Amino acid sequence: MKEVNRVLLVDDDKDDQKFLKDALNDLFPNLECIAINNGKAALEFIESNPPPPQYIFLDLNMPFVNGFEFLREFKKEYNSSETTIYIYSTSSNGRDKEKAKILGADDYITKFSDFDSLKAKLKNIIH
Amino acid sequence: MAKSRHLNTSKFNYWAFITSSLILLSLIVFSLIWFQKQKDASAWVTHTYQVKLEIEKCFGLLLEAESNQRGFLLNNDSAFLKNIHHAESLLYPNLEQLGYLIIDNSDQVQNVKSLKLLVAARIERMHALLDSPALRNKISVSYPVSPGKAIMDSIHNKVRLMETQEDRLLKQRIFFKKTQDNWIIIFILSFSALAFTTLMWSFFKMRTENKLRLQAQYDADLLDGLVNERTTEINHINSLLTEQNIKLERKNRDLMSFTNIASHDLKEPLRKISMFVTMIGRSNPELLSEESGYFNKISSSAKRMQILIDSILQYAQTDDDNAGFQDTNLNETANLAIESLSEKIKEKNATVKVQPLPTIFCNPSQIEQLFINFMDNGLKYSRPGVLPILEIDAQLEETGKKGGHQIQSWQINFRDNGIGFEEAYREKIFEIFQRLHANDEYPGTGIGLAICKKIAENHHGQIIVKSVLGEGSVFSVILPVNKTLTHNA
Repeated sequence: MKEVNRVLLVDDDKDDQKFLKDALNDLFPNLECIAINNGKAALEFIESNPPPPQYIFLDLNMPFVNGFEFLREFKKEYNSSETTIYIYSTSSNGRDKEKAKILGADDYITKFSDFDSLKAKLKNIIH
Repeated sequence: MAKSRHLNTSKFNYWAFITSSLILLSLIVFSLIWFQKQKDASAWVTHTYQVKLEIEKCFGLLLEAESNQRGFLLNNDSAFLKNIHHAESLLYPNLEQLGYLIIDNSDQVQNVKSLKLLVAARIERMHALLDSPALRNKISVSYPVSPGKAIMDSIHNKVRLMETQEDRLLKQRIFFKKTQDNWIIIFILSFSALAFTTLMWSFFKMRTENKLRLQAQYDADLLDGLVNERTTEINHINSLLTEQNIKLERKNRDLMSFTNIASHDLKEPLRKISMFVTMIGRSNPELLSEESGYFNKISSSAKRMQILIDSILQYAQTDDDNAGFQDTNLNETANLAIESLSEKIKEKNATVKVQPLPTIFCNPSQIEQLFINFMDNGLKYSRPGVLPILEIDAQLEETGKKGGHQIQSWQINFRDNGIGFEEAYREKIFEIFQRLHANDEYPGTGIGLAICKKIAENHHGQIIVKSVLGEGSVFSVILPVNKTLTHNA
């Protein structure tokens, strides 16, 4: 099993950043968790800090470069990278799910309203 | 019909024009020929007169010569001799001229020949007498006159004969000329009359046609005006409709984005409230331990609000979009619904019996929602102490007539053994937010059945419900077969 050392959270919502960070820290205390407010800043961060992170949690609705645009750009630039991308959004819209799948997202997680459920999900998908 | 009549009239006018032109042309040609013939006939008449004149002239000259001879014999005056010579000098050229004139007439040629001989004989006899020695010596003697007179009689007879012949010719020629004149007049008159009649006929025909054409033109203009008026009206109405459609589309779009935004924005704070409550619980577990504690109430209220918003969103998004319609095996739909409700079924220890269902043409996700909502209803409103039994079956029904054809419908029944309700409420339960029970008794949103009703309407169907209080209910959704496939799975 590979050790997870870096996770990128791309979300403009500070609360959600905190929920996700807390949950990840509870599960993986040694994990470096970087939170970035929008897709544009995230792309710049990845470019200046290679290699790309192992996991990216990506919100869809963000200013400047939204989640879909980030996904498209990232796949174009780092197609061969081993990064797993999870969409992490409040939207449960079928069209959004379909679009994310087409653009190459690995899974689609609807934001939780329960901290324990969030932790359970993370435990399942991060190894 | 009108067009062919119009064509016929045109054809008729064309032929009338050709005929009139031909008649006029032949009139001109015949007139020219007639003029020429008339000229010829006149020339012949003149010619005959000329012949007669020459004959008279010859005879006159001969008589003149004879009377001068007689005068000389009586008076022996040489002036008479001179007159004789003069008459003689004119006589021969006259005879030559006559011979030339009648050269075409063989009878007259013969006559002139014998006349010439007779004249020559008479002149010779005259000269013989005048040149006699007795006369030269101015001796009065008696002269035999009978031979000269006999010749003169013959000449006279010949002249009469010739004149009679010329008279006959003259009569013939004048008659010919007159007959020709009569015929040509009849011909010209009749042809002119014919041409005139044809022209008049085509003129009247043309006038009638013109009148008809003008009438048709007038009618067409009138019709054009009406059509234009109506077209303008239709265009105006169309533009109004287009305008209204654009407005409606904009309204719909606004409404859709409103529901999306509202639901998202309403749900977000609730989700965070729940999240923060659970996070407070992490550091202070005692705050969540009490069943009726405030934090639990906050959490359950937020969750209930979230469910409500989800339901409203689902209701709003259940539109009549036909794009999602496809052949759907309802047995699979039932299985999916059972899977969705598996936890509740297990919790309630319920039995679900599904009879073979048909494959129908429908929106599969909407119909799945309908199955879930009816089954969820059956599970939720179960009688205390009675294990819930849900039964689903379908049957083909005759539901009326349309254009002489029977309309068939699939009736899908959802039967439960729950608490049931009073018949009086069978309409009310399908209205949004309408509930028959308190939330702490039977929790719910009052939207589930309203969504079912909307789904049935989207499929041109309806829902009927039968219920007996304390015994159970049957919810039947009726979907017309023209929207479904008729084979059983």
